[in-house]
Formats: sequence, structure tokens, C-alpha cells
Amino acid sequence: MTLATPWIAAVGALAVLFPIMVHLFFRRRTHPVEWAAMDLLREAVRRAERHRKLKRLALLVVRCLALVIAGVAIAGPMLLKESAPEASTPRGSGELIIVLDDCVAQRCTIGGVTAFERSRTRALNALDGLSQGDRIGVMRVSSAEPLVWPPSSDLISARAVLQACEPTFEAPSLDEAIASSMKPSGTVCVVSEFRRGSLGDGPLTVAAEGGSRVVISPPASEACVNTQIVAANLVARPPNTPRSLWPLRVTLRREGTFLQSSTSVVEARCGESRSVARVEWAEGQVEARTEVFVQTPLDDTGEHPLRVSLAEPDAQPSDNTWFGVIAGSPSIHVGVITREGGAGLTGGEGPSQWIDRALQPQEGGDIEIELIDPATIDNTRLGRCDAVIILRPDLVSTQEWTLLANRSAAGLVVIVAPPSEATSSLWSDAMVNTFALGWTLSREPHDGASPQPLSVTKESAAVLARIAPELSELSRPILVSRWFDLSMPKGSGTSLLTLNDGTPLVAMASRDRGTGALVLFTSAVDLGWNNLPAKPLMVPLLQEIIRQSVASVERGGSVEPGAGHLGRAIPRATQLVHVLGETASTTSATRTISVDPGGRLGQALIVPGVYQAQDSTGGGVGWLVVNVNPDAARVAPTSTETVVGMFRSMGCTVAQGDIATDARQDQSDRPHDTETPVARALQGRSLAVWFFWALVGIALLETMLARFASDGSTLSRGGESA
Amino acid sequence: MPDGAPTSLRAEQYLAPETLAQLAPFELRAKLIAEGAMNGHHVSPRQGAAVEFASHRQYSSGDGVRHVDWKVFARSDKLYIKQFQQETNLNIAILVDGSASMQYGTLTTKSGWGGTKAQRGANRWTKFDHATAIAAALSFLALTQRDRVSVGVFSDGIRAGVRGSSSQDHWRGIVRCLATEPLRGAVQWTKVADQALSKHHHRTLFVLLSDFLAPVDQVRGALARLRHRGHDAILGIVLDHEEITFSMDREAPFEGMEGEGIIATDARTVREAYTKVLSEHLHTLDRLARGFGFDNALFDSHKSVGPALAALLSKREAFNRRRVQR
Repeated sequence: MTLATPWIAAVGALAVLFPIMVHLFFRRRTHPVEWAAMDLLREAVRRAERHRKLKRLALLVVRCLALVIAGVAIAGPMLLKESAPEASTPRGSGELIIVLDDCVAQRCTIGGVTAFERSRTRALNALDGLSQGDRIGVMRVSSAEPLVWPPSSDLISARAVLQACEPTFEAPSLDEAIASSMKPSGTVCVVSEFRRGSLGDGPLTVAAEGGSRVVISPPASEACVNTQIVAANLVARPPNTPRSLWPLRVTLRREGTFLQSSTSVVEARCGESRSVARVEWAEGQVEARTEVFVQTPLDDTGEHPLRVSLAEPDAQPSDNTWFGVIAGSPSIHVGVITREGGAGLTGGEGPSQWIDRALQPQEGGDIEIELIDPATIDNTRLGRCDAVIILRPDLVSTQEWTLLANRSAAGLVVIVAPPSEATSSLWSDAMVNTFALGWTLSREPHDGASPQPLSVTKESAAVLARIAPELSELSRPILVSRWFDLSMPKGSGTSLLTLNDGTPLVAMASRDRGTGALVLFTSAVDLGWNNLPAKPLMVPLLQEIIRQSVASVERGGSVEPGAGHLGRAIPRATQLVHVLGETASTTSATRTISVDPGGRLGQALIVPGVYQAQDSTGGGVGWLVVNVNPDAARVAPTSTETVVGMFRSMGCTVAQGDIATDARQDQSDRPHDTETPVARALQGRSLAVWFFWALVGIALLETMLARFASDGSTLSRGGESA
Repeated sequence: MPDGAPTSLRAEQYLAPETLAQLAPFELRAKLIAEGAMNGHHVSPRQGAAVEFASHRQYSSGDGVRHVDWKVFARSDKLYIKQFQQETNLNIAILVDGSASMQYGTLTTKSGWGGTKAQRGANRWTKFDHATAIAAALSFLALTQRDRVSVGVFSDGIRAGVRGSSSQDHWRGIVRCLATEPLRGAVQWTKVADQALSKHHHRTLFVLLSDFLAPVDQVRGALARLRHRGHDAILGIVLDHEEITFSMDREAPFEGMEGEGIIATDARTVREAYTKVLSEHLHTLDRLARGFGFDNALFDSHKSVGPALAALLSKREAFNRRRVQR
């Protein structure tokens, strides 16, 4: 250390001598005073000293008390509310519960910083605003384990956990997070940017505890353009398409303000092959579809992981990639369940012949047909089929319907048509029950006085999308003279072809993504019922139904991130191995996951991608695909009113404030402000002001006591008595 | 006259005019009946042919008829002899404390106040000076009543003294003795009492003039001896005004005058406690004296002797009057 101006230091050092000299100069030189009454004086000194000791002791106690009160005032004393759970909360400490949004929408990146990082910073600042003795609990909006639960007073460890946590790829579970963290008369701070994907599918269903409060961080207002892959489905290979080419229909969605015309490049990779498709966005266009052909090895009957991605990065990278598996099957195996030798009502060809003609119009097609007697339906025969067409449902027993339903859930496409000889629909009861359709089929077929044409509509189901341009033309000559009336509850199915009176002619049951289809013809495949088998529509109709339905079945299973179960049984699977996907987010622990016989996973699937199911020998026994839910990845900002209204629907008090900023202000600028969200969030009322005034009172008492106990006080009293 | 005696001093210097003026109306009377060599105004303890009637006794064979109370006989037909009290002269022994502590004084001397050897050179009126002034007044008064007065100076024993006499000229010798005796040592009350009793066999009024700063037990022992021999006593507690009020306002080491050591303290901080201790000490002495039937009075060396002495004598006069009337 050095001095800039040493001479000033020297002068200062010399100046110290001045008060010393003054003290020495004015120091009294006392000479002994002769005194006769020494015994009396000695006794008086003894008594005076005893009294002085008592006075000084009292002064010492008051001064120590002043220091203690000052220390307590600085430490921030808090008075817990009467309704707070004092049994679990140490006296004088507050508790801060944070629900941190770590779902996939928080991966929105603006300016190189993700929404999660901004939210985590707010949470850390709120933690820094706590005092020693306060407790903090941190729940996560995703299904992941809570970061800090139950609430802990170890703020240092909590800080470290918060700093180390990362966002997930999961959809939000805000209901569960709040329900788990809310206490009666408690306060929960929800830290999120509340982008569209974080809000879930609807209003919160959890009911708030009595007197509970929610403090929300300000919703983000920055809009950004995000293009996401909503779905990528394998579609039927067009006729005369090489079997190694797999058409993939990719559905894209855009969100943002001022959507301008642009171009998106869709890239599909399967093994070594790479295919690209371009999507031209018009101004304001929010949804688009394109087809990209994925190349697999010729005649390869294996299964290949597939990645489809957008070439251009945007604000939300998590929804720019879609994973799937292509099963390299060379043909479609269709089982026709009927009894041999059936003829049509009008004579001539029976239903099975019409089916055969429709599926194999020419030699060399990729559809193979196998006739199956209804009495021989079993797992082995059904296991060989990609689709079954049941022409004699009246001969299928309940047990066999159950078998068919189970296979359909595993991917089997089931097409049912009434038997030509049907005079009632009793056979439909077992079908409806085992497939849990909720449909109602009329008991007797409707015999129309005059045949009904088909209703011509411009919209067609996705499964008929390939023939949609020609569908109205192909439907015009169709006349149906006999049919069963079908009523479907809303959402239970789709009418692929409809009669003019609105009765479905061909209905497809709604299904879960990746499962098999159920398609019901309400009119028999017989010229005595309708002229469809003899019309051109029959071939493309039946082929598209089968091809698209079979193609849309996802090989293996498909789940969302966070799943802890396979979703569907994969026989002999003992582990899952991550083979394709977000490798940057994988660790050795997440790359290989154990599977128990019930399909439960050793740990949740947190990384999107393709997982190969392996048996105990390491051999592949199936696939599991993990894709981000595109709805959960949306990043459009949400208004504050919407967010507040959503929480108010819980029935609790909602406050909005910048928790992080208030925490900082609480510490520095407004040490005595008890109205910040953090202060309010802490279950207590600051007593610092009361301790401050107590300190002032103690200081005054000390002053008076010091005066009383001083020799000056004694002098004045002695002077008065003399 | 002893060497070193102040030849320029006059005994009358001890009798301030106001002192004499205040004492003249009073007669010094002893509470107890004392034997005296000469007739005086004091009551003799022995009843005999005297001036004042005392009581009756029944006539017995051989008694003279000169003192028969004929009035009683006329009323009761019984013969009674009148008994009379013989008034005698009072023996007064004035003992003045000559210890080193009596040298303390804070009053600057006034001209005409007369100085002792203890005071000379310091120009301060010491307690000893005040005690000698009291002794001079009392002895003068007693001598005018033809009482027999002796004087002694004591500390660790009775060091000097003047034998008892009732001569008027005896007063000057008393003053001379007091003026020339140096102050030294510390008081040993028991030894002083023993020595005094050895010199006074007849009933005597002892006037003890001291600061009585010694332990009370020692004083109690001495007074007990005097009471045991049937003597009377007056305790004259002579203190300097500063010793009574402790009005010093400085911090200084206090050094004992009789070798008690040094106490460093601030007078202002102990004033309250000191005055309380002194009050308790004086109260103890008062109770002690009353317990033995003795009188006591406090003499402030800064105040004139006359009023305090007059008050003391007035109290004694009133007591005696009540006793005689009974």
C-alpha cells in the first residue's frame, strides 16, 4: 500500500498529539487532603461504590438490550398470520412456494435467452430476497420431480438446484403443480412467461384452498414467429410407386403476428437417405401440408427410424423435429373374413368377389388377400394381417370381436360390412360394445322406396384425401337402396360417405393416434343393397381406406415426453435404447431405460426421439417414438387478463407483480415496504418497524440511565443537598 | 508558665462577648447529687442539715425535736422528723480530646478568636480550638458558681491537666493548659476513662469534648465505666463544618490524620453516602449517651460556641427543674 500525499498523513499523525497535550495540560494535579473522619469516609466510599455498581449493571443491561433489539430489527422479524400453519413453519420465518414453468413452451428463445432462463432468473432473485430462516419450495409445471419439496430453509442448496435445472420437452401440468403446492391461506408464486403452450388445453380445474393466493409473474409480451411440425404421417404409396419410397404427409403450422409470405424447407432423413420438400407460405397463412418421399433400402423389410425437421431455426426449436419409424413391409396383407361360396343376393358375385376385385384390380399389386373363415379367427391369422374385412359379422362371436378389438388397438385395420342376408343388426351389438364405439345401428335395415344417392360435399375425410378431387364425380352414380341407419355421438366417428338424408354410408371410428382403424359400411357389399361394388368408386374407396389406414398406423408406440409407461405392450421388451433424437439432451441415464413386464419405465422419457425396445438378449422387439406435443410448444404470448382470469377461475385471490424486481427492491430500496408481492408472499408481517421504535425507546432509556448513573448526576444531587 | 506558651494570648480571647451574654442567665446544675467541698447551688447526695426540705421520717427515740414537723403532728398526732438536702459544690472535669484528628479545621481564623498551638501556623480554626473555647466557657461559668473545675487533655491517655479548683484565677490556668498542649496520637477511650476515674473519686460531671470519630464500642466502654461509678457526663461532639457537610467539590486522595492511610475518591460522588454515614454515627452516639443518661450536643466549629452551649445548658436546667418539682 502507498500514499498519494504522504505529507497529509504526517500532518494527521502529528495532529493526534494535540488532544493528548490538551489532556495532559489540563489534567488536575491533586494533592492529598488531610481528613480526620477517615472511618466515616471509608464506609461512605464502600456504600457509594456498591450503589454505583448497581447503576452501572443496570446501564450494562440496557445497553446489551439495545444491541439485541438492533440485531433483531436488522434480521427482519416477521409475525406469522394466525391462519398460517405454525406447526410446520418455524416461528418468525416466512415460506415462499414457487411453481416454475419448465414445460416445452418455455424453450422459446428470444435474443439467445430462453423463456425458462428468464423465469429461472426471476425465481433465483426471489430466493435471494429471502432471509435466513425463511423456507422455499419449488414445484415444476411438468411432470418431473419437484426441485425443492417439501419447503426447505437451506437456501444455498435450493439456489444450486434452481441454477442446475433445465426445461423439459413436456406439456404443462399446471393443475397438478398448483394442487400439489397450494396450502390453505398460503401463497403460490407461478413463475412463467405464460406463452400459449404453457396454458394447456383449457381453464384450470384445480380448486383453490380457502384463503389461498396466487402471485403470477408478468406474462411475456414479445411475439415471435414460430413454425412447427404438427404431424408427419405416412400415407399410402400411390400406385406404381416404388416400394422403397414412402410418402410422408407433413402438416406445418405457423404462429406469430404479421405472418408474411415465406418458405419453409422440410427435410426427411431415414438412415442415409435425405429428402427435402419446400412449403411456400402465403401472407397470413397459418397451416400448410406437404408430402416428402422418404427413401428406404429396396425390398428392405426392416424398420427404420425417421427424422423430419425444418431446416430454418426459429424461436421454438423443440417443435421443428418429428420422429417416426418406417416399417419396410413390401405389401399389405388383407384378411377377408367370410364364409366360402357366398353369392350375392342378386346372384352373381358375392361380397368377397367384389372385395377381391376392388383390392386386386390387376396382377402384381401390393395387396395380398387371405380368406379367413369366421370360425377360425385367432391371433395367428390376425397377426399376419394389416387389415381385415369382415363380410360376415353375424358369424363372429363376442370372443372374436374382443380379439379383433385388441388387435385393432395394436394397429389392425378392421372394416365391417353387413352380410348380404342381414335382416337385423343384432351382430352389431358385440362390435359396438367391444370397440366401445357408442354407436347405434338400427335393428332392421332401411328399405328405401327409392334408392338414395350419396351426398356430395366438398370436404372429405383425410383418409380419402388422395381421391378427394374426384370424389364428387365418383360418388354421383352411387345409389343405395338398403342400409342400416347409424347414429354416432359427436366425436365418436367420421362419415366418409354420406347418403343424401345424412345417414352415413361409410363411417370411420375416431381413434387414438397410431392405433388401428374401424370402418363400418352401413350397406352390404352387394348389388342388392347398393350399386357401389359395380361402380368405379369402389376400387379407390376401398384401397384408400385400407392403404391410408394401414399407413397411418405407427409401428411400435408413440408417447409424449414425460411418459413413464410404454403406452402399449411391446412383448419381451426389457429396455429402451435411444437411437435417434436430441442427443445433446441425453445422458447415459436417459439413453437406456429399463422396462418392467407391465410396461412401466425405470424413468420417464424426457428426450424426444426414437427408442428401440430390446429384449434381454439385446435384440430389437419393437419401437417407441417420443414426439413433442405441438400444442404444448406454442409460443404466442398471452394477455395478462387471460392469464389472471385463468387463475381466478380457481377461486383464489390473484396478484401480479415482478417477483424478482420486488425482491431486489425489498432488499435495498424499500427495506420497510411490506406491500411487495414477495413480502406478501411470505406468510408473515414485518415487525422491523416496531423493533426500530423499541430501539429508540431503549436508546432514550440508556441516555437517561447513563445520566443517572454518571458522576455528573451525583454531582448535581450533591450540590443541591449542600 | 510553660516554655513556648503564647505570651501574647489572653484568656479572655476565648470568651467572646456573645458567649458570655448567652450563658450568664443559666446556672450550671448537675443532674446527679454531687458531693462538694463548698456550699454551692448543686444538690448533695447526702441528706442532712441543709437548707432545702427533702422528706419526712418517723420520729425515733433519741432524735432532736428541732426538726419535728409540728404541722404534721397537729394533723395526725404522729411525730415526724423533716429531712433536708444539703447543696454542695459541683465537681466538673472537662476532658478535651488532644488527638491528631482534632487538628482538622477549615475555617479561616478571625481576629480575636484566640489560637492554640494546634492552630497556630495554619491560620485555621481547628476542632481543638473550638473544643478549648467550649471548655473555657464552661469552666468560666462553673467557676463563677464556685464549682470545682479540672481540665485534662487526652489522646492515648490523659496527657496533661489542671487539678480541680474553684478559684476564679483557676480559669487562666485552664486556658493556659489548653493553649499549650500539642495534638498527637489517637484516642484510647478505655484508658482515658480509667485514668479519669482514678483521679475523681467523688461524683463528678465529666464534660467530654471530642470529635468522637473513634469506633463506638470504645466510647461505649468509657461511658459505661463513668456510669458505673455514678458519674454524670456531657458529650460535646466537636466537628468541623466540612466534616458535617462534606461540601468539597474535587477529586483528591484523602489522607488520614491519625495514620489511617489514603482513600482516593471524588468527594462529589460519595457526598450523599458520607452524610448518611455521619448521620448514622451521630445518631448512634446520641442513643449511646441517652442510654447511659448522659447529655450530648453537636458543636459545629464554624459556628459560635454560645448558642449551642446555651441550648445544652437550657436542656439540662429544664430537666433538673422537673426533677426537683417531683
